[in-house]
Amino acid sequence: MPTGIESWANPAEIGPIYPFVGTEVALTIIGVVLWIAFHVITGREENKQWDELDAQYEREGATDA
Amino acid sequence: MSDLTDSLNVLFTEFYYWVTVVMMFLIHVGFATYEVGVSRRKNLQHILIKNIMVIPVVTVTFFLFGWWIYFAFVNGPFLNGGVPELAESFYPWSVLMGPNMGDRITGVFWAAFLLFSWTAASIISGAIMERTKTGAFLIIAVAIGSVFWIIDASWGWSPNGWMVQLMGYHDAYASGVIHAIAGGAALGVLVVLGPRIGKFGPNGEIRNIRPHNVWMACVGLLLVYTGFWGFYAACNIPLFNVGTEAEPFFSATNIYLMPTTLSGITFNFLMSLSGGLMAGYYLSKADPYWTLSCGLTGIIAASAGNDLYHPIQAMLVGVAGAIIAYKGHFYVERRFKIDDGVGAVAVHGYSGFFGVVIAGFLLWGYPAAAPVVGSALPWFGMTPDGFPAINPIGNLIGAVIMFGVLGFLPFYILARVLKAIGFLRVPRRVELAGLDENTFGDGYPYLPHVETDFEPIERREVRGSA
Repeated sequence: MPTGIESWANPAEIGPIYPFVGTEVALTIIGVVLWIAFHVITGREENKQWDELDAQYEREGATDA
Repeated sequence: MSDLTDSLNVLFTEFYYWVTVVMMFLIHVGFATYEVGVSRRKNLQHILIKNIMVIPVVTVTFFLFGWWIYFAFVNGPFLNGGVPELAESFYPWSVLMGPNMGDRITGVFWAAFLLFSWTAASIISGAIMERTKTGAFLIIAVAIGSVFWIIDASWGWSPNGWMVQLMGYHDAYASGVIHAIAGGAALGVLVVLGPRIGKFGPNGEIRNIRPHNVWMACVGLLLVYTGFWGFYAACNIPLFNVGTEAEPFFSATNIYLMPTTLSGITFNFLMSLSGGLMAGYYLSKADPYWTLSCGLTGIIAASAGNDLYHPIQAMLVGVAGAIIAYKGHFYVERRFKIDDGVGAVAVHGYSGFFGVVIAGFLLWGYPAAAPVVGSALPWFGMTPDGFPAINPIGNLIGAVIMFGVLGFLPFYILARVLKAIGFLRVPRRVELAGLDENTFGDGYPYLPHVETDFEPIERREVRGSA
């Protein structure tokens, strides 16, 4: 199944050369979701990590000289 | 592209920007290197990963909306005249935002601007080092790299921008549009973030938190210089007809499509660098880190007008910028207890602000850009040809907009929001132990740990506040 260009015979007539031309809006939505999800997921994990370490240091008396 | 001359022009321009992008990557390498060098051993891997993750988050968001903003917001804060039709070509779903046989410039031009975005984010990164959550910084990076700096570029770093057309704003190599805004933004975050544990004593005395590796920090700054060459080239249009259709005259231009030469800006880059280095050497009593920082400051201060200055003017502006930044950094640190880990607010913010202001005086009356058809008359004067004229008032207001309105203010608010939801700063015990401790581990596992004289001070501070 061809996904885009099948011939380079008339280069002056060719515009976009990536596969699945016409899906750009859907690809944009995927990009936005991925970007926001990255911030949310990694942010939550980071918060959890620091909170756990903070509790561990408190138990261990980490400020003792 | 069937005409060979036209094709050569297009392909040369495509390749020109591609090369500048590769060179500018060294700015980021340099920032990462010098921030790691300045950090303490217990934090260095977090500093490194913070700088690395600027690349994906700012790149993706600059693709999704940053690049569109540049073309969409030229008409100003109230969009007087609406969003220009041209902006439609730069939606993320536009066919020009990808490989296209009919377009060879969008991708490389996008990337050149994107590398400026990384720079803006990295400037803030160093200032807030060693106590900020990575996730918070990445949100700040997106805000500066894909929103606020590109708004200011749209306003004041485009031939059609309202600040250029109405105020005669001139800032050829981004003293204001990159450096002043990033410095102002860093200051806005720092005010909310607060200093590192132990930075200031109980009577307000300043304690020096020494870099873990001074020479590495210095090499990082040298790499930033190297990338800065590419930045200067990327700010130019390499080949443009500055004559008429009847009598063409091809030249390099600045971003405003006004003539300059690559040769001329090479003079000025080196002379302003030299002015800053000499001032820094004298002021810091030959301290390598501050001498190199002042060299960077010299370039930043002269950048607004380095398309047109005489080399000795560029050098003198570089000297003045370095003095202002060096003195300003220590004054603000002493007076307001602002802990800027690398001096970024001063090096970029104060000298960038000064650079924009001084360019308004030194280049007073020069054409800022060709007038846009239908645009209102310039507020602060025009040239005999009817072009908006560069002037001190326009550039002073512009500097305030860059540093204060688009820099300090939104990032002060953003930092307040992040702080309110508990997402700005790591817990004090984690900061005390070091961010790498119990996460990545020691960055130098085969070197013995030697306690520095600062570590007992930190512990006392945390105990005292517990």
